Amino acid sequence: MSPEAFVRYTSLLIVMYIVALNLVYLALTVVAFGGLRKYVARLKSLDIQDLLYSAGTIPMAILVPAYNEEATIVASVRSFLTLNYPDYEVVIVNDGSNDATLQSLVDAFDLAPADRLPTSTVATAVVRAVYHGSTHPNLWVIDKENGGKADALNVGLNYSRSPVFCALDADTILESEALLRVVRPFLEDTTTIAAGGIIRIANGCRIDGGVVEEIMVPAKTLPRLQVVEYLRAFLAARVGWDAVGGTLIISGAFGAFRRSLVAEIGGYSPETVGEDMELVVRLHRHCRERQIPYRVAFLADPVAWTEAPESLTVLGSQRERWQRGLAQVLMKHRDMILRPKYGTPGMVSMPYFVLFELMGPLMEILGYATIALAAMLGIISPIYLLAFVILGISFGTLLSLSALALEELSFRRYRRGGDLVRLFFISILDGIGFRQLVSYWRVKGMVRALRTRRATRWDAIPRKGFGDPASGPSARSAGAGSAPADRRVAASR
Amino acid sequence: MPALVLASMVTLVALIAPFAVMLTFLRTRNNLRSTRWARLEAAWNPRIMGLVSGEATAEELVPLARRRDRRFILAIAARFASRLAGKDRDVVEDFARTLIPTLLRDLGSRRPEVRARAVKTIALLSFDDHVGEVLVALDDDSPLVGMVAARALARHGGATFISDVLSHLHRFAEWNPEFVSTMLASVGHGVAPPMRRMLLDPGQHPLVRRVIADALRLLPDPVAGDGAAWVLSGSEERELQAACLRLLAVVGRPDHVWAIEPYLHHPDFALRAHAVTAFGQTALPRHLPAVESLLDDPSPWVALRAAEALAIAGELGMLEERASLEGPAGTLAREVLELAV
Repeated sequence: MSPEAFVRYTSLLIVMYIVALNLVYLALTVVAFGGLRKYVARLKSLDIQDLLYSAGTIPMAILVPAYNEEATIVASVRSFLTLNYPDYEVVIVNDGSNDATLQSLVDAFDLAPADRLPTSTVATAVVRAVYHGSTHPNLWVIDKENGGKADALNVGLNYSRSPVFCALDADTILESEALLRVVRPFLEDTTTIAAGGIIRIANGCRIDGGVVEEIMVPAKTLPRLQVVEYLRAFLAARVGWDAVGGTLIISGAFGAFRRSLVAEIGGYSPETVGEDMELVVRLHRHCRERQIPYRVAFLADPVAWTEAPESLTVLGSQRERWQRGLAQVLMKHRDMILRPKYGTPGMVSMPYFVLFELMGPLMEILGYATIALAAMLGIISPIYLLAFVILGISFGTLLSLSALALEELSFRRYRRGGDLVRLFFISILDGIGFRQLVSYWRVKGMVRALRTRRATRWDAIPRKGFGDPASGPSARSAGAGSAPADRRVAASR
Repeated sequence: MPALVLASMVTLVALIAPFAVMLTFLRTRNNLRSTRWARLEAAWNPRIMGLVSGEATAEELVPLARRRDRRFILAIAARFASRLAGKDRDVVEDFARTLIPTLLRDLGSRRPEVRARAVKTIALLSFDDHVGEVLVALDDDSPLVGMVAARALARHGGATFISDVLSHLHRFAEWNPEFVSTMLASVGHGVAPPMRRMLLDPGQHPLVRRVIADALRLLPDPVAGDGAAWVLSGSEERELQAACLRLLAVVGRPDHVWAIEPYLHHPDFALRAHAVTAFGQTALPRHLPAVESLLDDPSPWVALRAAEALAIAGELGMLEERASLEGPAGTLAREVLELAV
């Protein structure tokens, strides 16, 4: 085959791949449309207050791993302690922080050393002490040696006693009814083993006392782009996967799990950076292999707000980490792929994740390179090059706009007219540069995953925080703080 | 080349424009709906308040309810009704009754969510007039509609329709059993006699009997202890055994110890844990050494329950002795002692 023919066929192949990728995304969006419509209608048939006043509500434990979170941990815990849920405990696990995270908690909540027997035996780093709140009897703080996010979650798992636990990132703000909403599938279907809620971007929103008071689109371009990206990921992709029973990811920033089952399979794996996805895949594997009826649900209405990175460096490092986690999980569970006994997760979701989520960024970058090369060599015409670029941009824009339409059809969080216009224009911009940049970071993440198998413990992601309600009555916008707290948080996919 | 760029821009705009139109349409439609809802709220909240305070009558208000607004108005009325009781609620129901036919059509909808919502609202606002429809909904193809109907019958019908609900319990096997038990217990003690009979009936599905045992515990029904002990001595169903042990932990007496004791050494740790709690509640002081021996059970759940049982029985000596130990045994003793103090 001549070099020209090779380049021509390669570029054709890549174009076909990208068309296929976008068609799959589009199909998921269409499925998500039906799923959301049904879900919104279902919400109206059994209301949340009904559940709240039902003594049958399942006790829950909120597990929050914390590493060097002194700037925001007190505000976060205050917010967790005011959730609207009849029966829950908050278990904060201090993962050997080398700042004043523990002391801040001890001082703010009048904590005293206490005894508490662990009720499961998932192997973890050494636990140094347990503290209990005298003013808040449902608050427990476990101080342990540093071992990483998964290890900290496993300690929380060992020390919690509720049948369902909810894993949260320390910088997450939960809406007051989020627990009630996320527990719903556990009430409606006894086979439910895990349920995840939606993560939304808090940058730009007005936050007061750990509560998102006014929802607004971020003023800065980078977090604004991420708003659209998150809508696409959660309202289109995850709702779509949920509708076909193929959910593989429940975000580490907000997910509820049946405790006994997670303890039975050994808790979170400290071997991967994508411990949230790995846990869900392992739960699928466990239940399928033992023919246990089960359901993993994704719900679009329990909301957790998180602060999105505002700098390219931080965002790049986050996306690299996510891709590395994805690669590690798929590698670890590769024997599930295309095996009928693993049902939809093995036959559909995992092949999709390998073909499109793992390989997609690489193919996109290769596509741009090959087609540019082919155009330079005169193998393809400029029209072909331009068509390729337009195709890429149009599909991306179309998908982002579809996600906006799903938001408008369902929960309509961005009520101000100007916000919709801003999101509309940023959706167009999303395909011009941003997506390509994200693909580049993801390729880097893949390469790193191939080079280093070992999981790093906590990635350094500086954030600005939501402000401590205890520090004063004035509200402020997320991400608008003055001095960035140099703390490390785990990525929340 | 400029023509090419122009052509690409036109293509791009042509692809994006329909979405812009769709989003504008959706936003406009949603805004119109919100405005309409706000307008109806603003108009009907004071009207219904006036109804409750006696300033207006249902006859005066009904002609004001335009046909196309009736679903919204019923939703507002339902919100009021759920917060009111007695005569205040009656006047809201009297007003809503004339508008209910709008919702009856929804009972035939193809979408189960629409049917469920209609059942909920109809039962809330006009239960006595439409109890027939609610009973029919118990047999709806959708378990969601069935559950909404069962909750409505339990809430509004009390013990009168409980036999209908009980005969449909098998349909709710998917639902969290505690949720279903709570629904049954919410009816009150009138529901206890038929539930006791069903608990003893081996012909009932074990899951149904389990839900019933938990409902009898939530009531709590002191007469149910004998039945639970009898079931424990004969049943092989794990969930039913666990529910009976939970029931005995609340209503058990020393003469039920014989039924609980064998479970203290059951290979299933969950049953041992339930048994030790039940045993601690029902046993006499002479039985307590059996509980003490479980402080070293390999399952932390069983050990924890054993320590709690001793603390509840006031037998703190053993725990105080162990409190100075290192390791899990000491931690457990200190934790339970702390709570006991």
